[in-house]
Amino acid sequence: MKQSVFEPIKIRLEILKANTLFSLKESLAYSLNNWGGLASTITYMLTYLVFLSALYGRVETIGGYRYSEALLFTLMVQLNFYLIWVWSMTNLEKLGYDIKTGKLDLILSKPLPSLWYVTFQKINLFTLIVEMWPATLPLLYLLFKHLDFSVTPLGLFYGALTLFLGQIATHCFQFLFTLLTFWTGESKGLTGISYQIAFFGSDAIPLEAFPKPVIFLGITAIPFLTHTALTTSYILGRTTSPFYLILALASTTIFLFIKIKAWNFALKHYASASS
Amino acid sequence: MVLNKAIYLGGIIFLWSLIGKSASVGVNSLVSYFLIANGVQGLVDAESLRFTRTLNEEIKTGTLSAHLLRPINPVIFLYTSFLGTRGVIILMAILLAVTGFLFLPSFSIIQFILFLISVFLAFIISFIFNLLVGSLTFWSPEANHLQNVASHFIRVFSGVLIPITFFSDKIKQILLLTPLPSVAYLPSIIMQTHNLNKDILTSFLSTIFWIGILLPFSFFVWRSGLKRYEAVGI
Repeated sequence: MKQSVFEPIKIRLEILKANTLFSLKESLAYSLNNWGGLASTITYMLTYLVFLSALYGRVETIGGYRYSEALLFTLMVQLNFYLIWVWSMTNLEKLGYDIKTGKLDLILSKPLPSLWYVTFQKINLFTLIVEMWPATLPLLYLLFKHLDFSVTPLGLFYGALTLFLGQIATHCFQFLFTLLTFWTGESKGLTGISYQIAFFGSDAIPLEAFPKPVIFLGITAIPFLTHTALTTSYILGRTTSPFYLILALASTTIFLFIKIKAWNFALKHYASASS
Repeated sequence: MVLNKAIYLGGIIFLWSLIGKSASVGVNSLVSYFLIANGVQGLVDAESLRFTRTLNEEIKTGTLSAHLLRPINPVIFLYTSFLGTRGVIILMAILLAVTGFLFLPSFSIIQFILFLISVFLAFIISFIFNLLVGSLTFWSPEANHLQNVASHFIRVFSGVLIPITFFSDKIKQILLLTPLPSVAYLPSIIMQTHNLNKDILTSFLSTIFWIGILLPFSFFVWRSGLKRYEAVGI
């Protein structure tokens, strides 16, 4: 029987659904750990807000951003961190571990699109729902309390697009680092470095504080500015030209292409640790 | 690991150079503060609480049993073994602190001696924090998140993330009475201040006071926890 053209898409959606449900069940199984995680993220957010308010008690602006704008920036940091953690970082850590231990054999022997499977092997919605939002509530409260800027629909649209593109570009960038595990055999250091680079200065440094050549670099070859700094800049209306958006789109497309090519290349050099 | 830390510090220095411009505070002074503060906290294992993780693993997996059978103090044995694994981190931390010294216009021998004394006190305070948080594993085997909570507090209120002087005067005075600033703020500010001022003296005295209280208390918590310890095997 001839396979429908929609069959590959159907298989990929099935993989997404099955992996998400399994990850959710896995998270719910360790309730004490989850409460601890929640306490940790709330404490982090509260201490960060103390830091921010102490900072803005001494200065009017940082990199041109007022307190309210810095709060929006922090919200974007939170959103980006959790999103990248939920769908990308967890899977990259798992991929590194699977390559090291030879468990990748099992995945490769399955009649599934392997790259898609390793990209979305684990999607921890629990972290997003239960850990992110309660921790973000104090931030949202402060943001609405000090809201003194307006947001245009176009700025919001551009911002949403750059956030989406930034997530994919960051994932691809980190994925390339993780692929080095095929040759090095160890992934922890690589994941750590790729995270530090991909989130360089993301805690509090706005786009406008960087020189133009660094902005160009941070949106193209090393996409550390797209996900948070550019997104916030578009939402706040500080960047209005779609130039950077087009640049981000082009660089993300190239990153996706490189990711596929690099995966196929790395697989050819895969010497399983288990066999 | 070295590259990782270097990138992280690059971000911190860039951020504080921006803040220094806005706050009309000397950029060199801020950079020096953060290099020394981060160096000292890394040296004494204050923020990451890595010794806590060692204790957590020993208790959770039951490997602590082997140390308990030996005629030695298990805490001191584990701590010294842990210190032995930290060669690269210690070297990196010293390098950071020394780089921080280079950003200072000048400092006296007295300042440096006081700095060494404050680092020694920071070692003891960090050891206490690690032992207290690590001992909680006796009550909750999954203590990783408790460790994270403690790390967040230490990072902000010890001066690793922000100098204590950036807080309001009231909060600053309260913080100086706690043992937290001793692991980062105190050593760093000693190197920046030519004269012994009230803040430094307060922090010094309160650190010694807290060591007197918390050191016996941390060993008491450890011993109480040991009574609850169960392990399979040896």
